Amino acid sequence: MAKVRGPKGPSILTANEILSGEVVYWSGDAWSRSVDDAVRAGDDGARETLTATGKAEEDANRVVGAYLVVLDAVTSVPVELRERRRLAGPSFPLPHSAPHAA
Amino acid sequence: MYQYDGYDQAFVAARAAEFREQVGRRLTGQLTEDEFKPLRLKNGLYLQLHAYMLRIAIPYGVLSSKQMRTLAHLAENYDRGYGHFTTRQNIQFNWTELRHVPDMLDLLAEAGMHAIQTSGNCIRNVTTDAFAGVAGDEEVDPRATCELLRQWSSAHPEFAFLPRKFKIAVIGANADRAAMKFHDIGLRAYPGENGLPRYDIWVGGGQGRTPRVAQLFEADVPFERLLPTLDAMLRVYNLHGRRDNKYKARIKILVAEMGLEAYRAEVYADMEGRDLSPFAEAAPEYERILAHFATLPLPEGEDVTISGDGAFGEWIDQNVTAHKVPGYAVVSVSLKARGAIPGDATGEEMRMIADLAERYSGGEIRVTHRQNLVLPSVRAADLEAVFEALVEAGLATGNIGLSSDIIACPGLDYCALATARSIPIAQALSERLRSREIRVRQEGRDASGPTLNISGCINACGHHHAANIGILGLNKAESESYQITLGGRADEGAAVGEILGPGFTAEEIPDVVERIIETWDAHRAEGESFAESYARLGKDVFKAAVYEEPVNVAA
Repeated sequence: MAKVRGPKGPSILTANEILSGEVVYWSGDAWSRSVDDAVRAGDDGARETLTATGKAEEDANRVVGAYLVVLDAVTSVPVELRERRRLAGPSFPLPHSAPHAA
Repeated sequence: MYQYDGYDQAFVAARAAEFREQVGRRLTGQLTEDEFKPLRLKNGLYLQLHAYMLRIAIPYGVLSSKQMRTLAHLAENYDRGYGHFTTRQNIQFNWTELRHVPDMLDLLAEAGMHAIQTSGNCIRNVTTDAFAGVAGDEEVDPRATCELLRQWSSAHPEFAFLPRKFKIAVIGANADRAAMKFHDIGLRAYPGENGLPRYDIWVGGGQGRTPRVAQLFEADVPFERLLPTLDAMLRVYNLHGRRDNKYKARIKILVAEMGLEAYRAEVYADMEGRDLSPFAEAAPEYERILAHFATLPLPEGEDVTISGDGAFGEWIDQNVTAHKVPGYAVVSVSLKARGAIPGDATGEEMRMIADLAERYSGGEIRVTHRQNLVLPSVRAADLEAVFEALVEAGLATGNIGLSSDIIACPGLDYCALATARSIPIAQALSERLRSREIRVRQEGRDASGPTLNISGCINACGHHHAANIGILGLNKAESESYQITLGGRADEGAAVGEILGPGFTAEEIPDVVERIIETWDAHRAEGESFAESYARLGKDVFKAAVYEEPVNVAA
């Protein structure tokens, strides 16, 4: 079920794609892996519409865990630390098979 | 090591088939996420910050080479080429796709593995000493007890919906290498009559937001009473443990609220008059299990003394431990190279360890609760060859037990519950501390130092409470802040660390930790460990060193 997290402000809809689990953003008519495609809700009415979309998309078994992410009105960066980290992905190169230093 | 019999094999295969069917129903919309979530969690599948995460059980941390190759195959074919070994001696894959999980579980079942009870409010993977069965100081091999408990607790119908998760650890030596007293129930096994152990039973330990060291429930319990007592201890917890507040639902809270005496009385009352005949199977089953562990799969070893200089000398001193069989050694493989992610191993590294184990260690590998790997039985004469192979793979860091051997949870880089990142803090500290260790050793001084654990939230998966220096990542006004605790211990002198003072930024942490270690170095009596010094000196000397002068921040 879609839920509103954090304080009110310009918001985007995010979720995890059901099959792959990948983080996705609602572009207005489909889910995108790029936050740049995310449609932004600037007022309460638009936020309610996004929330309803999230629930409908969950019910249609396309995504799980849909919710709104609130952005800073000036920088467009997510207000919450958790959402900034989720958007950025792991903050280090993922392990690979090259030898480490001793 | 223990081998599945037909019953075990059929059970895990059936569970894998059942989950395949459940995933199918989820994908066709017959199950909603709310209905599916408890089913996936029962099979170790979480939804984390970026993706699904599959946690796979490694019972009491014991793996065969074949099983390690299965994990490597999963890493390379169903994930992003690596896995993360955890403080419960399990492994997690961070980038699992739901559509692949049924195939992954089938492959695991074929290798005698599963992901059952790695999540949810049930009895989790039983953990133990990673040196079980081979440690020079061991009195009883805890693995047979662990396997007995695995069988008792797997799909136990009465304990499938406990108030909260339940963790058990077993040790069989004076040295505690399993953080036994930080478990809901901890067992210390001693030699008993007729080859059956006796046990001290400890209860109510744990970490999280209310850290507690376990209390002694009963000493010297004969084998015949072990399972009836555990059954009753779980039953009383199941009945009275709080279900209204998940932060107060662990048995440590129940024991604290009831008082140990009252809890104990209720357990004994529960046992009275019960039919104990089903437990009569335990002794013959224990003996059957024990036979799997009885003989070391080793030819005679030649008793040779190995020493060396430089990196090899450091590796021998830190990573090689006495084996109970003369001529053999226990080799720890550090997953804490300079700047590495604690506990992470690539598929290539897993295969390489599997090959080394097959060639030099009877085809067996252990996972430690400090997120390293162990080759349990290496002939002393082969140590140099093993070291050379590890050097080639970049896995020869000689820092087991040193401060750079850091425990870290996945933190806010992966975990949906985390409040701050852990891994980058561990990486920065590893760089700093590894330089110190190498320098101090070159100066001919003792490079040992405090244990150092990092958690990315108060749930304490990174065991920060139990470290000499603990670091807890918190969210302060949507910025990361790191709180330091000092004086915790996970060993036989188990203790919860004390908060030092106000928190620090991520950038300040390496200097703060270095300053704490320098302060210890300056005030340390000869041969004194950090925990001993802290117990003698108290907090103030460290507090003064850290807070009285501004901390430098690296550019």
